[in-house]
Amino acid sequence: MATKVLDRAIVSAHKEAIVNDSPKTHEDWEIGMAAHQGDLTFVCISRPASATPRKNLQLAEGATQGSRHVLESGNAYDCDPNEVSMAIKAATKCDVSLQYLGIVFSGAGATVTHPEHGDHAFVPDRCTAVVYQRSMDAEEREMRTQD
Amino acid sequence: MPNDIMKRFEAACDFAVPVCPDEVNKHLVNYLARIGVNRKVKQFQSPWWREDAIWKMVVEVLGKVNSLAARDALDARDARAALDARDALDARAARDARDARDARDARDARDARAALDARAARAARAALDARAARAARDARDARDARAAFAARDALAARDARDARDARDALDARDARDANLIILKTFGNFCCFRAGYYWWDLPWIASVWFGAIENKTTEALKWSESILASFCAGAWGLMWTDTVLFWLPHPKIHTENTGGSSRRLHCTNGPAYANEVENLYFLHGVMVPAYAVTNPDWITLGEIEAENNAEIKRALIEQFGWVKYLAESGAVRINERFNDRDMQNEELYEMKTGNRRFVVCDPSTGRKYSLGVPREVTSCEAAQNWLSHGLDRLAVTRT
Repeated sequence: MATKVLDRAIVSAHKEAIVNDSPKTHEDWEIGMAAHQGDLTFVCISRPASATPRKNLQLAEGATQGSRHVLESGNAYDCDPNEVSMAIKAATKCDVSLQYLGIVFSGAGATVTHPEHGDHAFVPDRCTAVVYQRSMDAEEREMRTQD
Repeated sequence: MPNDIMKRFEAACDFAVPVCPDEVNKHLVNYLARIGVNRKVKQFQSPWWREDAIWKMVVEVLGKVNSLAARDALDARDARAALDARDALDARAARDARDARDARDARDARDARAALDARAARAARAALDARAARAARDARDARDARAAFAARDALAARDARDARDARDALDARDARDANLIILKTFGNFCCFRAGYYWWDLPWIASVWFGAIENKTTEALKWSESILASFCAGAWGLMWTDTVLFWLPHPKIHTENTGGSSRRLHCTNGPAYANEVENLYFLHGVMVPAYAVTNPDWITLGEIEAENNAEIKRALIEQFGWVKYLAESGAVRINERFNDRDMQNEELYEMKTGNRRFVVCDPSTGRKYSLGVPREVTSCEAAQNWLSHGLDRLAVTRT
C-alpha cells in the first residue's frame, strides 16, 4: 500500500480494552484512499469545482458525549453534494447517498481532531471528503450513525 | 380576523407564552359569567387529592364506576392520608436511589414517584396503544399534549389492571399500596375525564375563530374569554361542583424527525409534564417512567414479555443492546479479529431476524452494537456496508 501510516496505537494485552487514540499522519494520501475516525470516513478525492470556503470547521457534532470532529487547520469547503458523490464514485467506485456526505477540506497541515479518537493529519496538496457512517435502527431503517 | 390574535393563538399553541395567573383568573371569571355558571376559579395545585373539590369529584366518579378495584381503593380508611404517606415514602426512596446512583436517576420527586408507581404496577409489561403513540409522534405542542393523553389513558387503564391483577398475590401491605396506585391513577384520569371539549383550552379556544367567521354572536362572547385565558397561559380546565380549576400549559420535549415533523422524546425526564402527572416518551414511544429515570430497573423478562415492538425496542435501547444480546440468546453468526483496527468484531442474529454488528471501538474501548441489513452475513461485509463500501479502501481507524 502506498500510504505510510505512522501508527502508534497502544494495544493492551486484553483485546477488549484496546486503546487506539494516537494521531495518524497520512504522508501519502492518494485519490481513492480512505481512513476512519469514529463514525466518520475520510476519502481522498479530486477537488470539486463547486468548492466554496466555509467558516465552520466542525465536521460532525457528537450526539451523546459532546464529542466533536474539528478541522484544526487547513481549509474547509461547502460543495455541490452531487459533485462530491460523483468524485467519490470516480475515486472509489463506491456509491454514497447524499445524506451521508459532509464537508470537503484541503490545505497545508489539514488536521482533523477529536477529543477521543486519534487525530488525522493530511498532506497539503490533497482534497478530502467527509463521509458519515450509516447503520440500521431497530425498525430496520437506514440512518446516520452518531457517536 | 385580526392577525395579532392569530399570532398569539399560535404562540400559545406552541406553549410559548408566559403564564399570567391573574389574567387567567380574570378571563375565566368572565367566561363563567357569560355562560351563567357559578364556580370559583382557582389555579390547580398538585397533588389533586389535597383539593377537597377534586377529591369529592373523584369519589363521585368512582361511585359511578362498577369497578371492584375502584371500590377497594376507597376502602383505605383514610385514602388521602395514605396517598400522602406513600408519596413521602416514594420520594424518600427516590432520593436514596438518586444519592446512591447518578444523574440518570430521578430528577425530582414527581419523576421518582412516577417511576416507582410504574414499576410497582409493572407498567412496562402493559403494552401501550400503538395508535395513540403514533398519533403523539406526529403532533405539535397542543396536539402533542392531547395525543400524549390518549396514550396515557391506555397506560393508566393497564396500570390499574396490572396492579389489580397483581394485588391478589401480594401481602396486605403491598395490596394496600396497589390500591393506592389504582386510586392515584384513577384520580389522574378523572382530572381529564370526558372529551377534549370539556377541558382542552386550545381546542375550545378555536371556537372563537369559527364564531368570527360565522358571525355567531353568542359563541363569540364566551369563546373570547376562553381564548384570552389560553393566550394568558392556561391550558386545561378541571370542572368540579364548586370550583373551576385551571392548569398552566405543560412542558413538552420533542425531537425533530425531519422537515417539520417531530415526536415526543426526552432521555432524562418526562417528555410531557403537566401539573397532574408526568408522561415519558422515547422517540415517540410512551414508556414507563423508570425506563427513562431508572433504566437499570428494566429486566430481561419484561423485555421478552413486551408484545409491542416499539416499546420493546425502546426498552432494549435503555437496557443496552450489548447486554441484551448477551442475555437474550441472540445467535452469533460470525466473528473475527480485525487486524487493521485491532478490534474484536461479532455479528449476531436476533430472534426477530434483525442483525447487529458488535464492535469494540479501538479508541475509546467502548462496545457498540450497530444494526446492519439481514443480507449481511460476515463482519467484513458489515464493515463495508456501514462505510458505504469504503472500509476496504481504508488504511487506518482511530
